[in-house]
Amino acid sequence: MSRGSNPAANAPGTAIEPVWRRALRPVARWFEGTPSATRSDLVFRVVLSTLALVVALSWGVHRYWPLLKPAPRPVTHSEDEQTRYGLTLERRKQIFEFMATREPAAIAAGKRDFPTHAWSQQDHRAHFEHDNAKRAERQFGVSLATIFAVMQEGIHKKWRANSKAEPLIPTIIPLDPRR
Amino acid sequence: MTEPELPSEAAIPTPRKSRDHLVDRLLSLFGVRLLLWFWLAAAFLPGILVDVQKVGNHFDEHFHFQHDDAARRTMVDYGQLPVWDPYTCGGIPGAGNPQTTFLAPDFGLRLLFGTEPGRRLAILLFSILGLEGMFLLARKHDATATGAAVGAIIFTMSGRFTHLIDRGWLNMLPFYLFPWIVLAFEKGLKSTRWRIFGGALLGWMVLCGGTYTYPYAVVLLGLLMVVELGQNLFPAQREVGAKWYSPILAVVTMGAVSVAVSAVHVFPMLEIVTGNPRPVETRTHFSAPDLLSHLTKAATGDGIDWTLAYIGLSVLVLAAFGALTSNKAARRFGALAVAFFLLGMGDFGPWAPFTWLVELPVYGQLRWPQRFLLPVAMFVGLCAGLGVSVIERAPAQLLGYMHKRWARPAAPGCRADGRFSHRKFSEIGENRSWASEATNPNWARWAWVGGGVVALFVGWYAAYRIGDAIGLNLAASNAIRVGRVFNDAPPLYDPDAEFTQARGNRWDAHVWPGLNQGMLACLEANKLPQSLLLRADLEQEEYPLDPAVASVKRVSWTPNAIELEVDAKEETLVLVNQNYHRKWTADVGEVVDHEGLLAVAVPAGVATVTLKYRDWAFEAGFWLSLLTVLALLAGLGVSGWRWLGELRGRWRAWGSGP
Repeated sequence: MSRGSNPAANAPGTAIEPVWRRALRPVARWFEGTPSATRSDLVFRVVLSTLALVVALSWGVHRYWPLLKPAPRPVTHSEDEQTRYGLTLERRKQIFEFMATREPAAIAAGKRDFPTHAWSQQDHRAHFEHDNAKRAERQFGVSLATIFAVMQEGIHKKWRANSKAEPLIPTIIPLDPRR
Repeated sequence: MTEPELPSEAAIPTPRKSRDHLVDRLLSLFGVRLLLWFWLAAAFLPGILVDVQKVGNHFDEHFHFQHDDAARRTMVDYGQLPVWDPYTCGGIPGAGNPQTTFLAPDFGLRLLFGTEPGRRLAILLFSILGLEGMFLLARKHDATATGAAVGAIIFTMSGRFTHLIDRGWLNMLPFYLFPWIVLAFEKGLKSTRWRIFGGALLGWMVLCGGTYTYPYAVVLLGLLMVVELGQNLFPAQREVGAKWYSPILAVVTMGAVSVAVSAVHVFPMLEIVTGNPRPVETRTHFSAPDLLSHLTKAATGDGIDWTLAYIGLSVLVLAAFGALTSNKAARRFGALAVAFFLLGMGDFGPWAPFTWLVELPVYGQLRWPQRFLLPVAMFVGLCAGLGVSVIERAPAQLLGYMHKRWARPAAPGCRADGRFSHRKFSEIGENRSWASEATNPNWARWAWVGGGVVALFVGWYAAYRIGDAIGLNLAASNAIRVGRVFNDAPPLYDPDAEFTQARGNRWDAHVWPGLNQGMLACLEANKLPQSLLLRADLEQEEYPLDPAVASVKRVSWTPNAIELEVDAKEETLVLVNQNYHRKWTADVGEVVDHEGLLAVAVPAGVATVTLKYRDWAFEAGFWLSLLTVLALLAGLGVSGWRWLGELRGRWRAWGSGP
């Protein structure tokens, strides 16, 4: 056992050490892995641990600041009939028409690929709808959420893709996930 | 001046295991480790820091975002717990949905920082917990700090986690808690506190939608218990202070605490998993080379396919080296890695472990056995970390043996096991005899010391370079780089919108809760009932069956309670555009099932009808979970107080000397 960790070293009669040596002793004992045996050991270790934690947390907060103070999520207001989601009614109808004209092909593809499973037909149709929404996102320069919001507005208000078309189907096939 | 009193023998704590390196001493400080983990996480997850409102590309990420966002909206905008979830499939039980996460402690991050930033913070939190858990576990089994850190990197950066993050399966990120579970089990053989702590972690897994993590953790604990019980048959092998039944006690305690902690989710979930079991028919199997290729095939470019579980062939070789050359724990971890690998091979024959496992309740509803590669990555990481430790210690050990052989006589500073350590170097400055002063000339003594320093550095540097190479290699394949995962535009948030049902699209599920719209066309793992009468084009969401007989006006709407003003000329039905569930009640009339649709049979007259969803299973579970958590916190408080008292005792006993 080193002298530093030996309590007998502090016994009365021991020669007085220089201050610098006394001050470094807790450091040496920590460095050696000796358990705390004096108050100065404990104080040094608490200070060291706290300091390390403060440095780590400071760096962590600095590094991950974009997550702790995130940019706000885009907000929209749907109350105004003429201008919704930042789009005029005409623009919204154009988006709806883009999506609605592609729906029959999506329904047909769903039936073709899953001829016996009604829920899968619907799900497959929805996948094509997703692809079309991605195209519309690029074509109209608005977000995917806006495309779907406009499409739902059209379903809700029974808009038609053209004068001969029927409104889009507003009902669903109940959940029946494939095994 | 009074001389300080000498500490009594009892006040001097038992010396801990000595540390070998400066690095070991530094990494014994939690703050230093945390700094390292922050840095490593930033290197592995740079993509989570950019465009923090964007969501991931994959439809499963959209699915999980939708659930989180709906739960957050229910809690923040309506001040309710999402016990009923009207945003999904036309209305389903929210608390009972097996994959729900809103009851997990990490969901608080979504509440505080927003849905997507909170999800990303949860990724960060779990990865840091994974790093810390692996480090502590490896250190417990005598890995050097550098070796333990290497093991932590291998596990945390393994490709399977990249796959989970890409798919948005945050409910599976508690796989990062697996090292803590092993640690809690091992320490729980002797410590009640650790058993309870392990149970609380298991409870977190359940609350976090642990459809896979919890059953897998039970398998893990089962295997650990069997191994430990087998060892306990030989008393000489048993851990000091442990009883033969300690492994059983540890597992039972952890299980009981986990159920009590997560009762708020487990009780309502039982109804769903028993009444609407998950349809699983297809069984998957892999040949050993095929499954091994999941571990050894790096991702190309930014692609993340379902086979990605990359840790690399070199790591597997290192792990084999560790298992063969390190201690008994390494061999045990190696055997467990093989056991989980066999499970991961799936249904490959009548004697396959997975074939037997799926015969058990709950396990029959699990798919994708290759997820067992996650525990494989953990055990491989532990073996590799211990292998790195062997390499790190080798030069100093070699020098130690040389010193014992050639120094005259064997110096007291050289430990019996032949290792050098800083502890001994510090004694040089105190004129202590590290190499015998009497028999060795000064130059020889200092040469041995210099050699020791060089040997320590060479060993550490070799370990560091191995860790560096492994980390870089894993990051090249598995890192969540900027633009790799989070590329879809942020969903809109409409604070003013009234709730309505939309036709929806489960491939882009993330867009609906922000618009305050429910998604009728949906997907859930369990086959939950949906009414054919649900519609996305209604003038109003609550309406009379016969408009000629009654009129209905919405007074207020929240996810768990709807208030309606009804004016009925005669007894009739008021329909709500949501699925029926027997836990809905009405203060006027009676809730009925109208072709799967929620409906109220109201009497004639004008009335204000309030519908409420109350789930007794949730409420019973809520109180049990709350009381358990309070008891755990009280226990923690008592332990902390006792520890402080002990510290005060030591403070008084210790002198103020150096």
